[in-house]
Amino acid sequence: MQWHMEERTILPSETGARQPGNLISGRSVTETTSKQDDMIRRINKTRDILFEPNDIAVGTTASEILNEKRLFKLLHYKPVVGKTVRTPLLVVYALINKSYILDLQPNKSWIRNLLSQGFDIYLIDWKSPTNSDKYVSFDDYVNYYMDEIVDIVRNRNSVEKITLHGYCMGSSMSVMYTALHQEKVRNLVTIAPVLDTRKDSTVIANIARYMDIDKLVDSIGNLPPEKLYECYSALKPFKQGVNKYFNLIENIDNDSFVQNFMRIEKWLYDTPPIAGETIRQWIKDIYQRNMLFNNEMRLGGSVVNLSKINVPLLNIVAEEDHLVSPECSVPLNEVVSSDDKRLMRFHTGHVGLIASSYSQNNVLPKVGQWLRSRSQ
Amino acid sequence: MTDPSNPNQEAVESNKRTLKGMSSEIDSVYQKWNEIVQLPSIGPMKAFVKDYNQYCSDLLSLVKSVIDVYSSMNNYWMQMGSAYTQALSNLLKDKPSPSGQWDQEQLRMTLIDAFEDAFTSLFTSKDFAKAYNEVSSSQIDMMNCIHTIFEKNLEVLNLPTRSELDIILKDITELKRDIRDIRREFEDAMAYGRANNSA
Repeated sequence: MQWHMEERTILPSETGARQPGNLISGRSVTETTSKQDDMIRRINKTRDILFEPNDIAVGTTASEILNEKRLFKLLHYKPVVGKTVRTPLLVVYALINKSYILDLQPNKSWIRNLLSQGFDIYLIDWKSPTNSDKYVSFDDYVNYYMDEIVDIVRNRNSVEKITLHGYCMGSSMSVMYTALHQEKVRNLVTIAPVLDTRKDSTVIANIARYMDIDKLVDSIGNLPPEKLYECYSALKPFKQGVNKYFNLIENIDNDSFVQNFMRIEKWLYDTPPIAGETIRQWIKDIYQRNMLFNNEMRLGGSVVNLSKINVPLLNIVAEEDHLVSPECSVPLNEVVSSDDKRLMRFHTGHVGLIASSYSQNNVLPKVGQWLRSRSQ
Repeated sequence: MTDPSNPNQEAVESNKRTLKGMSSEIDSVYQKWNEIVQLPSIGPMKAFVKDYNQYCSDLLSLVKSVIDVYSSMNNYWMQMGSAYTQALSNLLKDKPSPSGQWDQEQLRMTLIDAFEDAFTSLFTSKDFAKAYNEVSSSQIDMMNCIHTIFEKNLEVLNLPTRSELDIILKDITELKRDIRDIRREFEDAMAYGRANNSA
């Protein structure tokens, strides 16, 4: 559908020009009218782009699917330089939104950057659960799917241990996995893990604390994406939610800006549902009862005891993260028993930490350096 | 500065009282109607009206759940309205002096800051979280009432209901877990056997 504003000559009286005289704040009527024409053109162009976006290319780094099951795909990225690090790196993405945020575009790709540093990268790309997966829990994700994937990667690379690298919810899952299957993990790298939720001051944590998750899961089953969109719309609703569209109109003639905008927008609203039992544990055990941090969370028959973790740990947090407060992630370094642990803080946001020029220049070189010195 | 999460509490409470009154009024009318149509407690007549009474009761629950949704939405929108008023008041504080003039950019940023402050403080408040979850919860209750009504029709058509399917799904998930554990134990035993043989 095409939307066009009616084009017409704007009269000086409509522009707020003071009469008599042809000056508006020292500018001529012709200058103001041409600015308004330009604004109308930008708005029209913005509307056209938003209504009929061209194909938005994301996740373009070459990869192959090594294994695929009902709820996951295991991707292996093709090396872009000679492999210099033997220990494979398994990236565990979250169950919220899609994993291509880690490979959003070539010059801002977390994955591509690590590949160019010589790492051998695998990625768990979680698939959307259907209604029949509503009873799938963290036990299945961590003790079954993740464990199976880790074994595939270990066998393929003929190594005893791998580096586990999680993002957001995937970090929390990596922490759970390491606590239960440490013998297969050489290093643990976490980005913005959700851990000590008592200290989480975000809108998401606030809503999660009072959510009647039992009623929701028992009635609806899986958490529908719309519920997540409701939460997103309450996160910086004007500074990001509204202002980004003003910025888009201003930069509508800048192709690179528009492409970046569209990619992020695509990712934001490309949300799969979350399996019912999994989200029940996430909200109830982690957000409402803080059980993961208190070493009380149970997966299957086992208690997840974080103090058992003694592998080298790199914990990365964003100071301006409005999805997971840094205060919620930082305590991971206090609860594990590792002698070799490091906390890196960066002045950026949750997405900026992994998909921005800032992360390419400031975060990834340090991460690569840390990993290299601890890998085979 | 007023707290946007605490709007006119009295108005909210009075609204809730009115809606509660409506709900109990409906209850009492239904009770009276039931007394009027009371039939002998045994015999075929009782059996014939059983379904009818059940349908009436389900519809009544639905009406009451709609009232609850309305009541919780009221509270939610009052909080939003209060945050909006707060944002306008923030904006007025920042208005330029009569001699000063704003350019578009300045105006936009001031507007955005004013609204951001008011709404973010609302969204991070305990009262908002409660109100939001009350809306969600009442909507789910309403949906459950609709489900109950539809499930009865599925029974009439001799089709499996959602609750019955849920039981099967749960069983399948548990079976999968059992198979996974058995397979793992089997693989461990095989590996142990191989290791012993080679030794």
